[in-house]
Amino acid sequence: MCCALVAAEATAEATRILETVARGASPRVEVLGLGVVACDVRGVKRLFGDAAQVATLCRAQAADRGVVAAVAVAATRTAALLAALMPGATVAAIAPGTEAAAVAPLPLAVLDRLVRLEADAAARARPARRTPAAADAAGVPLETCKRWGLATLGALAALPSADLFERQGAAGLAWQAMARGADARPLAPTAEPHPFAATVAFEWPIEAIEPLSFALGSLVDPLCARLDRGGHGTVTLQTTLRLVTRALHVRRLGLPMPMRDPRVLRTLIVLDLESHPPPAGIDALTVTFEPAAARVVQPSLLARAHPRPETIATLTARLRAVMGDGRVGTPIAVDSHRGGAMAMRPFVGLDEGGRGVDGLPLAMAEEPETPATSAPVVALTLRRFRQPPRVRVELDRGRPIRVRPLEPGRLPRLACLGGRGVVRQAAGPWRTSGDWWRVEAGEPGPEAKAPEARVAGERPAAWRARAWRPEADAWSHEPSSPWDDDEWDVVLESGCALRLARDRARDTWVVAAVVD
Amino acid sequence: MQAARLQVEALLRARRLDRTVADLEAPPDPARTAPTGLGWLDGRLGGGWPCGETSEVAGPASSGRTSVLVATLAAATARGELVALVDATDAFDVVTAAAAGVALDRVLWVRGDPAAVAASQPGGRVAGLVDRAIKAFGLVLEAGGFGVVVLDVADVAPIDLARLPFTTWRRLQRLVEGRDTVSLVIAPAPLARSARGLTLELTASAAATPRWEGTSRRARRLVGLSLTPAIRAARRL
Repeated sequence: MCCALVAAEATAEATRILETVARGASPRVEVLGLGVVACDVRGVKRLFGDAAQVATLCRAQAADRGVVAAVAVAATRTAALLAALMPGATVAAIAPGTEAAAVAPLPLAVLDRLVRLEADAAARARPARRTPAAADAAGVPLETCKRWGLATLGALAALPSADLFERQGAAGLAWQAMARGADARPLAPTAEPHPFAATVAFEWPIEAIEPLSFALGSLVDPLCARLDRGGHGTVTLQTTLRLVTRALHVRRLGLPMPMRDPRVLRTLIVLDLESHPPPAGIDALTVTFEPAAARVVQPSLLARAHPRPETIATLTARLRAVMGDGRVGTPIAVDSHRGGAMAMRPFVGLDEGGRGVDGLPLAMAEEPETPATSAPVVALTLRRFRQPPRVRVELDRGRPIRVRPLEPGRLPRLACLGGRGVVRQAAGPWRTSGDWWRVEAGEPGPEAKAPEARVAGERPAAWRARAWRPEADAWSHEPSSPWDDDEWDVVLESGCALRLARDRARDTWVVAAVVD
Repeated sequence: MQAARLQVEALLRARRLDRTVADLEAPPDPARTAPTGLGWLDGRLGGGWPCGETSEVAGPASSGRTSVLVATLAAATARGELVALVDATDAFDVVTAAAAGVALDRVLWVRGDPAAVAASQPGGRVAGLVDRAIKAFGLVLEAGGFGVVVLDVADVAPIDLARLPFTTWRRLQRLVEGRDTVSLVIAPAPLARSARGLTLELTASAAATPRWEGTSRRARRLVGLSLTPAIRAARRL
């Protein structure tokens, strides 16, 4: 026995209300599409009465919630749905064994709508749920039926099956069976929406993170078991702490891939809370997962094993706890002429297919070309100073001849300046400037002074359009103020090679990098 | 003599210290080396850096340590491996590394705090900096799965590194033993090589280290370094 509920207006809200009403009558509920819900009402007679009473009750409960719905109860799911999908229908109760007769007067358009709903539901369902009839039925050819003189389901049901199969194939037989009120497939219950969240309230406030980890286990383990049963993983972890001050301390972690290993998730939450501890004692703890389809990975026997995403997520969380936020990630070269310009983004390693971010299959990665040269020669590589130390530079006809640190012995990297600092060779100047348009355009550029020679009112907009746009998850600690530098490569008599930069606006010198 | 040696080796094996001495005379396995990407260096290293061992590149500023490091990272990422760089003093230059062929999206970069670096004095705040870097280095080695893991403490004064107990390097070596990972330390002086690891010692020669391009004084530019390498290893090289 099946009960079908069809809303007059096919909206998501109406669907939700009809599902609620149906779940009040039966635990086995199927949502076919917007505004169309079916439920199994076998064995509810002692609770709600006969079929007609059940239909009337469901319609009344939907109306109480503001939804006008047609409700039909029949022995087969198809007959109930056809009766409820009939335009203008209100309440119908079809006696068992009379399904074909009951739906015979209905127009073919009703069957066409049901066939399309079934096809959509089959497309959403897992392949195992997909039936040949539902897969083949992409809609009833109404024009063809009209040419044949068919107007109702009864006329379609009366056609000779063999002739119909010759002309329309298996789909034709499926339509005919449905036109007789027979089920193409049983009711497939939709899982009850249940948020992946769990809460625990403590008898007394918890002040430290360590005891909290025990409570976390009791919340995370059952949630992960549910994820496992549903073939899901979580892509975000939200931890909400209700503090003794009545304030909420909310931490949200995005994961690179769907995960469901309780140990990993627990570790990530604990590490995050250790890095960002709550300001007061904790009264209650809530953990919320956002489920997503789990990863399906086929490891290769031939390719090198790489760290799993769970391992990388745990490792980066531990590294962040040691080194601080923003200090762990993957470098990004940015489109700028500023010396040392770069940004970072979270390190994810490889995607699901074992490919790098650039999409190159790792198993097919080319072997590096080994230089044929036999001389011990390497290309220019720099070691940057993120906070460049200032130096005093003596010039002779505009060229550096001596470099002395302003704060001797401050950094071992500048120990090479400890001698006389005499410049043996020098090349330059290489002039670079940029970001001056930020000041001209009124963008923040704190201590910057736009060089007078750069005033060109018509260019900033175009230059801004060409500026590097960071990726959504990237970050950078680099300054964004304008710069206007002359750079020199110098080699001291000690053998130390430096890249010096002179700020032309302030006439100050810094060591930008060491050539190494 | 032979009996004494066998007895010593048996004791070492019982305490899982046999890799320190007992198998040193075995020739290096070419399949267990990671090429540096520098042909002249791979030939002298016996194929590249040995996997499962801690090797080091030591030398003063401008001796080419970072160039060897970047070449190693470029070769590893070109083989499709993930690499990790624990950069204690935050000195890694992304632009020249990308130009050298490092696939940046396969690099895990762990950076030291620049404020601590700027304020560092020998024996002062730099101690905490090195401790954090070594802890991070150990975490990456423990996680496994990386082709090359580098600890860059090249800008830390040797006196600060010498204060670390020797067991630090022994503990780190145990984390990488038996894995297909190269553990590499960039330092101002040799200090951390494991028993079967290699030390590449570079010197900044005052004679002709930098390589220039261009003839005229105004058009000349620095294009690279000529290295003066010396390789140290236990017995076999």
